[in-house]
Amino acid sequence: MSPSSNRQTIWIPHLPENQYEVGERRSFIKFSETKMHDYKIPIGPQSPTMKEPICIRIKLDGNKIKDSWIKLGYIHRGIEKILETKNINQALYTVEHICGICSYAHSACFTLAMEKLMDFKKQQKVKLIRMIIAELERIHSHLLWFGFSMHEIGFETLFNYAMREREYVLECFEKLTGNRVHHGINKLQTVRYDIDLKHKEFVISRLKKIENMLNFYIKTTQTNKVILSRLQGNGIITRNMAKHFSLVGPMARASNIKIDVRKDNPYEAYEQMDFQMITRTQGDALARTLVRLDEINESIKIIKQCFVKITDKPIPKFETNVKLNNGETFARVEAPRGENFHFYKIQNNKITRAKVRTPTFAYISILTHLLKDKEIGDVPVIVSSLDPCFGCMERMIIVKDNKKEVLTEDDFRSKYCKD
Amino acid sequence: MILDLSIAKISVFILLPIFALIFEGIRRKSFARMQHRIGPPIHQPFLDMIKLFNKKKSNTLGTENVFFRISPYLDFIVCWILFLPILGILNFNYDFILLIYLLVLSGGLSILAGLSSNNPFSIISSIRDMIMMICYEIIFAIILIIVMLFTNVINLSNLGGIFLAYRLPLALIGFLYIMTAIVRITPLDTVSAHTEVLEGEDTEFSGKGLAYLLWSAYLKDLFMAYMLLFLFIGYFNWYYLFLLSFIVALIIAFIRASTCRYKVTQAFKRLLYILVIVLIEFVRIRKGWIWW
Repeated sequence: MSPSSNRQTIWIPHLPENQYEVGERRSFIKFSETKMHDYKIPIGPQSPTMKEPICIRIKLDGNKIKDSWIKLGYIHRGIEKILETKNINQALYTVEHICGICSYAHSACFTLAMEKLMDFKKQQKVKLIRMIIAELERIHSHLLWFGFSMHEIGFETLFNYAMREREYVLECFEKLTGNRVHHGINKLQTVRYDIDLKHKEFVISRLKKIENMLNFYIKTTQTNKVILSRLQGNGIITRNMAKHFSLVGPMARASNIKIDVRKDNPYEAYEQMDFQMITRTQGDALARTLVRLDEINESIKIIKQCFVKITDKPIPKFETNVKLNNGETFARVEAPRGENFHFYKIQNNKITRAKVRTPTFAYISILTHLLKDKEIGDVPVIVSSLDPCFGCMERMIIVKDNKKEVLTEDDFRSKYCKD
Repeated sequence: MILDLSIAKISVFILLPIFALIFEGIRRKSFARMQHRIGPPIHQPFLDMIKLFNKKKSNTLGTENVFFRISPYLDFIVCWILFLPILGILNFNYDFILLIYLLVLSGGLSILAGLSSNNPFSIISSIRDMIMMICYEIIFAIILIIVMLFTNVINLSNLGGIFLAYRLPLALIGFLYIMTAIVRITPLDTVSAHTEVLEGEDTEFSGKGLAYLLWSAYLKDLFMAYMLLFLFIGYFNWYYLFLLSFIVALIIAFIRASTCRYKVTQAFKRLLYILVIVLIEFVRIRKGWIWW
């Protein structure tokens, strides 16, 4: 289903176009004649409901949502095309800028793919340092999301508390990598900075603070009656539905699908770690919240194990002139939102084709299904429970004759690649 | 005697909008401290008002509507004169009925402001406000009548000095509950739920119009704080009332900081429960079952 081409009728739907001339006096009686129970409202691209650049148009009947459309294309940056102009070392940092929240997951995916092409065996310590950063990022992402979802239902206090806990993780990032958001710690075959004992004490002390508050968050979410009334039974995704829409990450795990790249196809040193895959059976917004909160606990467990295994052995120095074999390569890692997939085609040490599939790409298709027959009050809850990151998802946009359209790969092939 | 004027009363009445801004400042500051934030300075509402009054008048098609232009001013005036009966400036028998009417009128004017602004979000917000008002105004009226019946007073300004909080516990619970709806704080702030309906009824307003709408909302908050003290704590004198209202600001901030918001259907259901509770109290007072 596509949104109507006429913009005017969508934004002010209950006033037919050109009914009033500019400057004409609009009387109250005329206003009362228009239908008030059937209208469409836009949510986004700038709205407190979503801090993401996307527009959801909702057709309402009273308080009930009849239909909804998604409009994308507000933040397309053409990163896949940009990558084709970069050499490998530059591409590593470009890839990190795909997302602001899970930036490390992209660079980790990139380095994994390239190292696969090189047939390179990493040092154990490098693997451990990468895992520490990845898990810290998961904690930071889940805490940010938790605060945000609580803000959506009006619990401003928990939002501010969660931000305080997130700040501890950012401090750890600053200590370990020198940066708070785009860490830039990965290098091909190695990492940029070593981790020593001083860092260990600092990170563990910060994790302890997070752990203490985490139990409080889990208990509040499970017992607060107002939170339960909003989250429980809202936006249910059944197991079959989750399979049908090929969901990944915490979304799928909340619907009792055991899917986690760290367990299914262990990379780095995850097979040596002792951690659980958190699953729940309910598949509603509450289950998704609790899965993510429990995952923070598991991440803390992994980081502690990593620190036990880290030795004083220095990490290898990085080389700037890395020679890559020609060919195709791919890698997948478990980003905070689910499986992150990168594909690259290399020729003469240059990327000739890059393809990124972020976890949000799977979530976007299910959103309109979940919104059907819900109330307006459910929109923020459902949208935030998906934890979407549209910034890293946007892929393809066609601008032709001053008309903009956003296409999936299949649409693009059928429409523009007929030869 | 209907008009009971004195210099003290009139000066308090004139200063009320200023008190309302201070009240709002304290509310914001305490709310921020509870959330582990530093928060704005206490004089922030004054700065907001100065900024809004210096804005240019917007020239949109929506302003062609007469009600869009006048409803903020009317709302401000009605919210200000809400204080006349409880200050004792308007002094006559059965004046609490006037108070009920004025509160309904101020609610109705903010609904009108939302409807006349011709914005889909404002209209949704106004419809929500109507649904909520059906319930909370009735509860407010019943609570007022309960207090009048219990104390055997027919004139609001004669009511005072009686600590009723423990004698009418169900009415107090009901009052605190509907206060969250009128003051628009969680759990019953569905009307101004900004993640659902943006700024609610104020979405389309700017400049002076917005300033008056906000100011009238602050006056209403102060009014509810005074009513809580007036009906349940007892009327000492105006200086005490002014100081105690800051404690009410803390209570309001605490309620807001410790809950999240209901959906409109859930909120209406909760208000219905409260209606039943308040009716039980009413029957108890009518039958004379006062055991403590």
